[in-house]
Amino acid sequence: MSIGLAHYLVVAGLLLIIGIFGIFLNRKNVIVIMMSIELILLAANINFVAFSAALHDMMGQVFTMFVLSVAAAEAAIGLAIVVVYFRNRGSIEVEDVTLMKG
Amino acid sequence: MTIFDTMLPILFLALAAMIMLMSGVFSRRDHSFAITGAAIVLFAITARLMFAAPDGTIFHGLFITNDFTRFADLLVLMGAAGALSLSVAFNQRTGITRFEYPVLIVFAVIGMVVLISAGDLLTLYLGFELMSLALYVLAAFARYNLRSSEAGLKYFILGALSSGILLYGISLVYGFSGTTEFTGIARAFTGSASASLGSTIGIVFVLVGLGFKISAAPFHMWTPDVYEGAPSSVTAFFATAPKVAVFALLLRVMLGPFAPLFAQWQDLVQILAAASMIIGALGAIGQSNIKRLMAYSSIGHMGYALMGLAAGSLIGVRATLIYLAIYVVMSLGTFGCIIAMSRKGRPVERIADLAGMASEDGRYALVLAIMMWSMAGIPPLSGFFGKFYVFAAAIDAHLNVLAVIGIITSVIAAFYYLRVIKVMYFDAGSPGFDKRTAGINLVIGVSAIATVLFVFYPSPLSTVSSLAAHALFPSQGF
Amino acid sequence: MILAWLLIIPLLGGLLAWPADRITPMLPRAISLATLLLELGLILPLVHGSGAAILSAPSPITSGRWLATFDASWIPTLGISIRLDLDGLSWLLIVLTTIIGLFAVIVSWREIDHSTGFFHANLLWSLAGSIGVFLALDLFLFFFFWEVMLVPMYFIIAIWGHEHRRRAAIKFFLFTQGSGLLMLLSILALAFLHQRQTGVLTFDYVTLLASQPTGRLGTLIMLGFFIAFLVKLPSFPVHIWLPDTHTEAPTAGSVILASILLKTAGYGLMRFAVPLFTAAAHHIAPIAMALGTISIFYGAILAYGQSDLKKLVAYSSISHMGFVLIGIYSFNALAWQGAVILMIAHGVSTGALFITVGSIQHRLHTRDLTRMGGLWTDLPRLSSFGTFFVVASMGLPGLGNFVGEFLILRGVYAVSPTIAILAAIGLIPAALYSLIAIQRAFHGEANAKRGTHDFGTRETAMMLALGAAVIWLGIDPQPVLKIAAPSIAVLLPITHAAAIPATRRGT
Repeated sequence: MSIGLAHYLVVAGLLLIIGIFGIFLNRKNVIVIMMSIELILLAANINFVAFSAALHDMMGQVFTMFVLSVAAAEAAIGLAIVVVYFRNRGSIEVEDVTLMKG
Repeated sequence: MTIFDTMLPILFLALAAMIMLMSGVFSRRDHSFAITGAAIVLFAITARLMFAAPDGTIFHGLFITNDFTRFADLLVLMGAAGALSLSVAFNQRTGITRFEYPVLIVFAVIGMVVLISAGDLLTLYLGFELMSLALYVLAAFARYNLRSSEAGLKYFILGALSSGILLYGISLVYGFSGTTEFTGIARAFTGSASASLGSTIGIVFVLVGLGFKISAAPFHMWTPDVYEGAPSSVTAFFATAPKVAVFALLLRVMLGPFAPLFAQWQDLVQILAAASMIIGALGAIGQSNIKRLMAYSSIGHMGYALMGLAAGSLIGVRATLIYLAIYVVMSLGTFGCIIAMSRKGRPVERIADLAGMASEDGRYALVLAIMMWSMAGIPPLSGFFGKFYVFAAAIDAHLNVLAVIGIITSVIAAFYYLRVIKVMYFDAGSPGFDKRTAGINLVIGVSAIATVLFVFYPSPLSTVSSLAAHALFPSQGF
Repeated sequence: MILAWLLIIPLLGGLLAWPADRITPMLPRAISLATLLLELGLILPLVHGSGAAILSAPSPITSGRWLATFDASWIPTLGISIRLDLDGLSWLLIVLTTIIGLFAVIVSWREIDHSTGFFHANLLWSLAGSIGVFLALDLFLFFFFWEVMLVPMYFIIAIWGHEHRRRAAIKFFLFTQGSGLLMLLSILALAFLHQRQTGVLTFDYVTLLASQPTGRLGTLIMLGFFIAFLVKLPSFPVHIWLPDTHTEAPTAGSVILASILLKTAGYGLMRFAVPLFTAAAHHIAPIAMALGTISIFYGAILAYGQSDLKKLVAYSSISHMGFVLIGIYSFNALAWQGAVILMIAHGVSTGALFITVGSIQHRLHTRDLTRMGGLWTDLPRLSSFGTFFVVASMGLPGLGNFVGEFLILRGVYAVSPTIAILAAIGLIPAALYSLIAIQRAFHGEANAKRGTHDFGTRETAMMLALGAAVIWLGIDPQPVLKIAAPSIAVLLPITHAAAIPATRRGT
């Protein structure tokens, strides 16, 4: 059996689903949510690289480079906000993030 | 030199932002007030440069400027400058005056300009992230305030999720069209009678990701919390510039690269529009916090603006642009009034706090009443014309059901806007608000005058937005 | 240009009156009085001289023989212009508006004692809105004024009304706003339909008259107009806002509402809903007439059951407007003449009735019929005027309302005898509730000795003027008929030419 484009796409799709479920089903910790977000970005990156290889087009890989750097910045800002929140609240339990009811 | 000419406004903006940042970092004294003033002047100069910059497609189609982007850019700059002038007094009162504030807003605006002018999915993503990252920080800007940091956290989580979904959608679109360039995507999608499953999912994901940012229902859940929790000065900014920028991009993406698949996504946009109008109208009932009320109101307004996109026509784009322009002015005026709500330096946000406003400060009550009437879409105020244009576009495109939903929801919405007026004019009380600053007076005065006098002179906006809309439909003669 | 002034004067007057109460509370009253007198001075001469010549020579609407016109560009990209035109029908209704407006100012002379400036500003603005409705011949502009009438009226009810004023004001606002927006959709649909047919986007009434959409689409578009006017008229089953609103509004508000705002609906039907959609209007005619007949009975019967005098008058309005509705949808020139007369006479007599009720409430602090009785002994002048106007609105021969109802019934009889007979039967409960109201309020034992004063000179003069108008309309309606005739001749033949099915014309 040879590994083709479809397999990569399925893996990426699974990662996306795991990431989304991780955000919505997770009731414990904000850090886990941030990890789930990284999973979603990872899924997109796998897609890009897989398509790039399949199409023989460099754009996908270039895109991946950009995504990686942006993801790093995003994670940094996210962690900073979590730290600020922890200072005020003393906890980063998801259940505690309910001061305002939406 | 054409590249340089076309890029000049944004290069200028970026360079100035760096200088502002550095001067803030390396100076010993607090220059935040001067930097805020500089940022406002900066926006004015950039707007002037935008007019001078030629149309062009540069960097192999990565960056595009034309009448449409210019229109959206100007709206963004106007919204940002207005929000910034409102912020000074509020930030001072609540003790969050720091030089990073104007710098972050300038960075967010750079992101928006890139976003609006994106000619490629790559620039789209970078602009989107540059804007979002600055916005996340802004939402949590009052860092010793639990509400603000909670708002920042929520906005970050849902915003990051939405950009992840957007990115996944982009990757699918890239895979199934073979390119990330807008014109190339449009070419790839043309001719295919029915879209492949992959590209349809990709488009849906892109729509969802962008829908998050304009708080279109059902992706609106962050809006009330973030509006309420973030400092009012930040909320004023959130309600204006980013909405316009993402909406402008939405118009360009949906009616540019994705236009060949119009039949596939039109229903989806209709559902988004209808859901937003309904949620906006129903959610606002029973809110006691005026910022939450405005959150639902903005969800509803986005629904009306989406009607123009659902029409998918030149008239529709023009209607949406006019609606957005009027919406920005009304929002600035309303948030100016909200920011002015403070007692002994502490902001108050309950609608009930406005009781007795009319007898205590008639001018303030009148301005807020004008804004509320206008948001409800009552002639002769400008909000009515915005609604008129989108309803016209919807009827023109035979979206009768959507138009009727719009009518029903606007009647429901009129009900809660009237409630604010009722509280101000008919309830007894004595708000005892602090004295308003010149910046707030200027912004609410100008927006009230614009809202009232629009009826006498509507043709400039309608002409300019026509020009902008034609830039999106180059094939249709003027 | 004179038409533009007709709008600008009350608008400016309102702007002037608003801050004027800082100087003295009397100043806004004087300003609105002066404004309306000026307005009257402008409008009255228009039917004399060259106006008389135009009125005597009826011509098709497209030839543009108006008493006065005004045209200015507004939003050219959408084909919207500020087009105002005056013909006999509009002239009559504008004169009615101005005169009733004058009386509204006089009644509120004493009644309104706080924030008089804002009150008179709102009063003048709502009058300006209705004058705009009667003048506008651009559909967008018409809708614009239609909505502009609302906001000042909302304030008048919500600020100076009685106990439950806010709920009533919101009810009034939401009802009219919702139905108005429905009309907006129809206007848009009509304009775009015309654009598809001819390639020209315009909201100009005269141009759109040629469009005449038929079939299901035509009916749907027409319904938007029809429902909006039905709500405002009001007719059963969309009348529910009216009794509450009337009861809670201050006297001047009730007067303007009953005498002017309700007439905008009748005018709208005659000017827009019927001529723009002749075929569809014909389809809907049986339903409209049925609704009108139901309204006649429903209003009369509910009026009979009321103990609140103001509510009684409000329900009687529903009944009278039912006559206007069947008159208009009989497509008969005689009935249309009657409808015009009835609208004017109803405007005068109901206005007078609301003034009377307002005066009673001012003196007795109640509107409850059961707590009145025997007013005649205490307040002879008030009671005699009250009786006169109740009898007038009941349709006593020789008075204005009778002429209107009689002409409508004659006209309707020619088209549908059944409806005419039913409507005529509807006059019986009208007589019943009128007489019972007179009996309960003015006759009988006085409940208690009330140390109240009768009508003063100001009120007596006002009532005498209104009474004279009703009598004059009843004895010599000819001048009014003559002024309205050319408009009706213009609006009605359009109906006939396109609408009456061939089968019927053959028989």
